Order: sequence, then C-alpha cells, then structure tokens
Amino acid sequence: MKVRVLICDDAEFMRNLLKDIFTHAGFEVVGEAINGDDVVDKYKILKPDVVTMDIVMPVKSGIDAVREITEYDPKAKIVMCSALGQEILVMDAIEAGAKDFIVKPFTSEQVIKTIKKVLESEV
Amino acid sequence: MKFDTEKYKILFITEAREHIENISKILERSKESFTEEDLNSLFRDAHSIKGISSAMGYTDIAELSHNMENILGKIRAGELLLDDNIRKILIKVTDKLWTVIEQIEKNEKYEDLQSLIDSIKNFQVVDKREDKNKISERAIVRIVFYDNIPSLSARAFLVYKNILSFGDVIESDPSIESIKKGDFKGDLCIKIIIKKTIDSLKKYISQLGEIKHFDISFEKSKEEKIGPEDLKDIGKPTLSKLVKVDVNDLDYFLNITGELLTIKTQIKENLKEIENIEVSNALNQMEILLKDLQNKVMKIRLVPLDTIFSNIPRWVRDLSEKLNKKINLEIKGEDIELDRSVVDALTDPILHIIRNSIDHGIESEDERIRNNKNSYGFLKVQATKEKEKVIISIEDDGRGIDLEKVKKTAIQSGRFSQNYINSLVEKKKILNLLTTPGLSTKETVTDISGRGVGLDVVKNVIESFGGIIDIDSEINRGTKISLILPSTISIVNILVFKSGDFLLATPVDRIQAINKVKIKDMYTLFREKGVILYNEEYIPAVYLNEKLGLKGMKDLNSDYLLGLVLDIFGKKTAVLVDKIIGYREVYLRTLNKPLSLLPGFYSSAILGDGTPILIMDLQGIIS
Repeated sequence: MKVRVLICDDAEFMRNLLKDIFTHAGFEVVGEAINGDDVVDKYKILKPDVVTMDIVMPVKSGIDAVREITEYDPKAKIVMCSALGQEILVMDAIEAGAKDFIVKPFTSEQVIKTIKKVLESEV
Repeated sequence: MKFDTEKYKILFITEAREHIENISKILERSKESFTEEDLNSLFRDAHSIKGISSAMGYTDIAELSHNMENILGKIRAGELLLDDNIRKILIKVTDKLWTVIEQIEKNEKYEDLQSLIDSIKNFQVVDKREDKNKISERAIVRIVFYDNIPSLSARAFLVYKNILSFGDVIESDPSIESIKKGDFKGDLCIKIIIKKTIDSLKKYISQLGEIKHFDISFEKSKEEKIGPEDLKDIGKPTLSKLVKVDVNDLDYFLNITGELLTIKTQIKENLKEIENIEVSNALNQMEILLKDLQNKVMKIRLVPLDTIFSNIPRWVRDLSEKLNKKINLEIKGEDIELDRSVVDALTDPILHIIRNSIDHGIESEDERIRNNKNSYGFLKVQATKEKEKVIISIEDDGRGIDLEKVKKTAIQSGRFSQNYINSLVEKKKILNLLTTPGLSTKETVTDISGRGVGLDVVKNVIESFGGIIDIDSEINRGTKISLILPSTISIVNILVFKSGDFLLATPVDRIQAINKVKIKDMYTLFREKGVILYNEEYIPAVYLNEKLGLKGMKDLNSDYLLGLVLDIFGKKTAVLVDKIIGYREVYLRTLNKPLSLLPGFYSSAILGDGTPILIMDLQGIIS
C-alpha cells in the first residue's frame, strides 16, 4: 500500500515541489492544506500516514497545528519543514509533538529519507 | 570504658546536623530517582548518624538511622524504587532526627522514637520492580553530531527527546535548557537509567543519519565482581585536600591580618618624611601582599547561603502542616556566599520572616479560593548578588500588609503621635513602622509567630552588618521583604569626626550629606534639638554631644557647626558635630563587653596613627 501524505504549506510553490518529490518516490499525496486550521481539519478527515508542515503560516501557525493534531491523535507523524534561522521554532514544534524536521533548501533524497525514518520509527 | 559523653555532645550535635542537612538536601532535590552519587552519600550519612549516636549511647536514634540505612540499601540494590511513599518516609525520619537533635542540644528529654522505628520496620517492600525482566541499567550515551548539519541544536533536541522514551535521563551535558537556547556545539552526553532494552536504544541511535559516531558505556553496579583490572585503580590512599578549621582560628587570622594592615599604615605614616625609595617600595610590596592575604582569609570565611536555605523546605513543611496551608516553595541563589558571621546571624531573621509569611501572609486554602487565587500559596526565597551587595528576598503572594492597620497599631502603641502617623503618605514610610519594637498588626498572637524575634530585631541584626531591610507589600497581592547586605564585612570607609573632645566615626555610606550650619541660623527648640535649613527644607537637627551626654560643649568660639545629614525611615535628620577629620579605610572589629553594652556603638577600629575609635550607629541613636 502506498504511503499517504498530507502536505501543509501556504506557498503553492512549496506544495507543488513536495508533491512532485512524493509522487516521484511512489507516495500518494492525499491532500494539500494552506494553513494551520486547514491542516487540522484535513487531518481528521483524511487520516494520512504522515504530514509535512510549514512552520510560519497565516491564520494558525504550524506549531499550533502540530499541538492540535497530536492532541487528536497522539501517534500522528508530523515532519516540520523549516528554514534556516527557525531553529528555536523547530524545537517548539518538537515539544508540541512533531516527530522530525527537514531544513530548506532540501534535496528530494533528504525528504524521502526523513519521511521513511519517521514511518519506521518506534519512538 | 565509659567516656564522658557530655564532652563530646557538641561535636555529636554538629556532626549529626551536618549529616541530616545533607540528607534533606538530597531528598529535596531528588523527586523521582536518586543518582548513584546521591544514594551513596545518603547511605554514608545515615551510616554515620548510626555510628555516632550509638557511640553516644542514643540507642534508639541509632536504631532509627539503621532502619533508614536499610531502606536506602534496598533502593541501592534495586529492590525498592524511590516513590512518593518512600520519599515521605525518608523525609519523616529526617525531620524526626532533626527534632531529636534539637532536644538533645537543649538538654531536654527527647521524644520516643519507638513508634516511628516500628512503622519503618514493618514497612513492606511492596513496590518491587513490576517487571524483573526489564533491564534497568545506568548508561552513559555519547553522541557526536556532524558539525555542518543545519539546525544542529534542533537535531540534538529531537534526539534528546526521543532518548527520553528509552528511560530516565539523570544528567545531560549540555543541559536540555542550553540546547533549547540554540547553542549546541555537536557533542551530546546523556546519563540515563534505561527502562527499555539497550539494543533498542542502540538501534535508534545507529539509524540517526546525522551523527559522526556514538558510544554507550555502563556504570558498574556494586554487585559486579571485582576483577584484577579494577584493582589497578586502588592505589595509594589519597589525602583529602580539605581540612576542618575551627571558626575561632579563622577569626584570629582575620584579626591578625587586620592588625598587620593597621601597623603597615602606621609605619607608612611615620615614614612620610623619610625619602627612601627602597623602604617605600618594600612597604608597597608589603601592602599588596597583606591585601592579598586578607582577601584570602576573607574568602575562607565565606560560606554559601545554602547552610540556611537547605533548612527552609523543612521549616516551610512544618509550618504549613501546623497551620494547614498549602504552599509552593521556590528557593534560588543558595550558592551565593556571605561571611560566616553574617550567615550565622541571618538564620533567625530569615526564619522569622518566613514564619510571618506563612502565618499572616499566605491565606488558608478556602480564603485563597474565595479570592480567586491559586489554592497553593507561593513563597519565594531568593538570594542575588549585585556588585558588593547580597540581596536576600522573601516574597509571598498572600494577603499583603494593610497600611491603615499599621498606622492604627502605631498610634495605639503610643510610640508615635497621631499627627505624625497621619502625616505619613508614602507606602515605604508606613511599612517601615513595622520595624519599631512592639508593633505587630496581627491582633491575635499565634503560636507560630508574633513571639520571639520581631521585625525590629531583624532590622537590628541586618543593620549591625551595615545592611538595610526593605519592605514592600501590595494588599491582596503579597509581601516582599528584602535584606540588603554587604558581601564582605570587614573593611569599611568611615567618616571620622569630633563631637566636643571626642573622636568618633560612622560608616560613610550611612551619611547622605555634610552640611555646614551657621550657628546663628540654627533654630533651637530645646536643649538638644533644633531645626536647620537643608536644601530649602527645614529638617530636625540634634547635637550629638548633648544626646550622648558627653562633656565638652560645642565650641562656642566657632561660627558654625557641621550637620551630618542622615536618612531615618525616609525622614532627614541632621546630627551636629564640631569638626570633620576625614575619611579613613579601617578594619572593623566587634566590641566586647562592657563596651558592646553601650547603646549606639557597634564596633571599633584603630586609625593609622594608632588611635582607637568607636564606630557609631547614628541612625540607631537618633531614632
């Protein structure tokens, strides 16, 4: 069965880039969310295997979204997509329940490796 | 042979206290588990108490500590896990030991320990490890990350957090707080009690992509057999670098160093006329060395505030239980050091303030809930160091001090005129009234506070070290009492002056200004009091010689006097003296009886020319 991914980013460019990477690797992108509120709603409906989450977004931040999703599903596997200079925010997200993170700019190989690691992890 | 136990009693009490303090300190900080080091230390302390008390013939104390040792032994052997229950029992035993030692010190018959001993003896080992197959090992995990990976601190943070799911982290270097600040350098070392299997931990770490290498080592447990390899380390016995020194010897050293400095000043002053470069070079060299020596001696005399602070959790526990109040306690700055004599003298004042907070400040649970406050009262004891001052503050979030009530009691006490009290508007001035003897705003004197030392005594103690007490309070929000103390006590700047024929001095920092007063501008009210103009304000002025009843009236030939302007509870007062001699740096020594009985004088010093001089507490005399 294909790995089901939910992508959350307010930038269309990033969503498309990630979508390409995942599709190429044989994952199924089950949905795209454009802000923190949107992703929480879509997570509950789509129940994806893994979520990629931008940190700074309008309406609701990625960190708050992580917190809400983890509250709803403590086993949720969320990978943060961060940029340089967002290190402290990444740690806040980890504290909120994020399982791993990738730092932009990233290669498709790094993204897939991190997603696979998170999916296999028992931690 | 029966030895004279009385002779050893003081030694016994001091030593027992040291061990008990150690135990409480460790119990306070270990909420869930003991580190191996702590456990060993606890074991040693309990064992020592057992040893010395049985030598003294206190067999039941010995038995109690023996049972404590047993419990600790079981924890060490892994038969018992430290849980709330066991912690409570250990605390109870420690508290009891403390009480008993106190009773012995006061030569009272100490209470019966048998029931407590029985209850520990019968203490069932119920909390055995649930799963014997689960491996519980202490491991040290070291992980070295590649240093060029982006967001290195966040990576380390994630790894740390994930390792938490394999067991309890006892220690980490760097600490998680410093990682969280974002300054992780690449080398992470974690001490952990493993709850899952080692293999699962190894598997987790080995699949991390960003690490250069890692290793996991184990701490040896006591049960392991000692092989010949281990014996290598057991070499010659090493002597401790520390020795115990009698405090009196330290005082002696300090005194001698002070005297040497005085003699040096004397030599220097006498040699002023002789121009000899070699002598003056040697003298300068001597000055540097002496100051160095003095600094060292002063440093030896410093003790951490922990000697008082470590008692606070017990005090708070006792008092809150007695008064049925719930309190969260926070203590900070226990490693800040002060001169031994200051720390010694601070115990009672701090205890008094804490008692007041818990008894009068912090409300009962019901009252707090009614006032929409957290059901737990909050008490914070904090020491901070600012330049040459150490500030100890005791803060609660209780009901605060009612200023109107303070005013009312002040009038009732008969110590102040109604007009004076009614003229007070500034909060600080009103709160300062609380430091006058016999003033307590609580109508009913409770068993806990309101007796013994009052805030006036606290103030006296603090001021005798050249310190200040500061009270701040907000109704329904709480009270904060700060004790502001000089960090070292002995060398101070004094102002030397003459009153009549007498040479006297007072610490410079007590004086706000020196004001020249023309005698014809003085408005004398009666014998010793008058009014002078200072900064376009009329302030009271007091003739020091008349206040002290000294012979030698003011110099009637001179046209003016000098007013030393002081701040007394925010009220300016001038003390009139005849002549200012100048500033001097002196080493203060305490006064002994009978001189110490003189009101208004609190220490003495020797000036450079060998003249002895009394140091005055002018504030004390005037107020």
